[in-house]
Amino acid sequence: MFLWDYTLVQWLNHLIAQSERTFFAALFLSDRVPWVLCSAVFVALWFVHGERMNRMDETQDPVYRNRVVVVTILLGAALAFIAARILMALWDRPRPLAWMELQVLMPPEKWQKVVEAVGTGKAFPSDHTAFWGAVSAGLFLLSPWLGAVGTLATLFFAALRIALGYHYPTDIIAGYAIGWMGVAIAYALRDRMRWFINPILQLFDQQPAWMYGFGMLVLLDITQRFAWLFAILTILFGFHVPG
Amino acid sequence: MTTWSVWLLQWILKIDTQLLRWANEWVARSPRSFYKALEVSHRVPWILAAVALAWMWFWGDEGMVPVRYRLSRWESRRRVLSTIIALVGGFFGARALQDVIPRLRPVAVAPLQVPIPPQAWEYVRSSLELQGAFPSDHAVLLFVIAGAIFTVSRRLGWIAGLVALYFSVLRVGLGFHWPSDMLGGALVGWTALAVVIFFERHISVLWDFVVRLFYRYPRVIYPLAFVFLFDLSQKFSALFGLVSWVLGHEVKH
Repeated sequence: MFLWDYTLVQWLNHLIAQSERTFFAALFLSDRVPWVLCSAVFVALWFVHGERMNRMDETQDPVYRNRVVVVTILLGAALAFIAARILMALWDRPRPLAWMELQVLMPPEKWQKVVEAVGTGKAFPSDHTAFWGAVSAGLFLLSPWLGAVGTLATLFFAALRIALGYHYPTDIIAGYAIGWMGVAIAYALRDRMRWFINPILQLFDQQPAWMYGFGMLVLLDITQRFAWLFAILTILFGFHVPG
Repeated sequence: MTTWSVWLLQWILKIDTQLLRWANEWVARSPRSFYKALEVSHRVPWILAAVALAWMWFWGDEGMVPVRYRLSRWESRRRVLSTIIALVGGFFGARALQDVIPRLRPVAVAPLQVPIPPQAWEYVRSSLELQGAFPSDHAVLLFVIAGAIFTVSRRLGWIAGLVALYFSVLRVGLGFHWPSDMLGGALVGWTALAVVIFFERHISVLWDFVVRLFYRYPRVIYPLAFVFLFDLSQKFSALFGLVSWVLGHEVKH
């Protein structure tokens, strides 16, 4: 661990511990909000040119082109998230809240529940930042402006997680890099995955009710950090994705 | 009270108690099944409601005249908006009735089989006991959604009805509600839905305006609709969390 890791955690923690309201806001914003925003971004990108595809041709139909990118980002983000989870299990680094003296402006019993939910170990790398980083990297594929806004939002939410003592800055940097790598791999393999992506996109046009119902489930699972997907994998194949 | 109303109340109580006992025996057959029922009956109906509304939004034929389905997609979208209004109306109606009718929940008064540690059960019980039992707001949600699906597809409506019945049995078996609370919730929900559908033609201008917004500004309205459905799937916890933060004290929901 670097010295600035420690210093930055202290400094950001001091910033959010100005009042109970700012502390509560940091807790609220760092929990589900970024995940819901990521899902909302996927929805916005999916519908950016309207509801229906005209033809499965990247040069002719902007709807199709966008949807291929959305699926690519989603696959890349999922890949980055799983990779980060695996690394977390292999490298069991204690979280700052496990040993550092942080300012916590809430009743100890409530804070204890937060600590139990987050855990005291497995800080490196940040799986949250891996996913958000992948989404912001994906946004660069569509527009540099969107990518910049996504990156700023990622940094903001990551800073909140540092301030609360969930992560060190190096966890965040590593998570962000994994996110970029996830999207880069998915984007590089994009053409080879057409056999998988095209039928899905076609189904959305042929059976919209069922596919959008299913899509809603997938988006809700993203807001739950893929908890249901991991539960299904555990039931079906017996292996447990750590985290 | 007249003699027959006393007899009716006694008869309802007898049936309620018997059905509660059967449902509780089924749910409490093992600690695992009890935990499963606790988990499933709490969040899953809300998630399914969000999924069902998304499904209904894209149901129906694309043109103005239905060919393959019972109704066009435009009509189906109007029905989704009516369903949301019926849900809101049904909830407020159910909550108002809960305040007026002083009925205790089975967890507070009935002897139940609870095969989980007492401290875990106490945690669940304490969060429920203060709220009135009649009618069930979960039943409002489940049966409004089932009813709405029935109006767009008979076959799938029956299936949704069975799903609603399953969740109702779980909540009765856990002692959260009497069977008549679920029936009451279903009636409140269906009444709200019937009233809104009855007036649907009169408010179709408003619905058409909202649906048109989705076609005109899809990149803005669809993400907002997603956030709404997400919060619905979380029992509006984000909305109430935000209100609590603004007001500076916790708002129970």
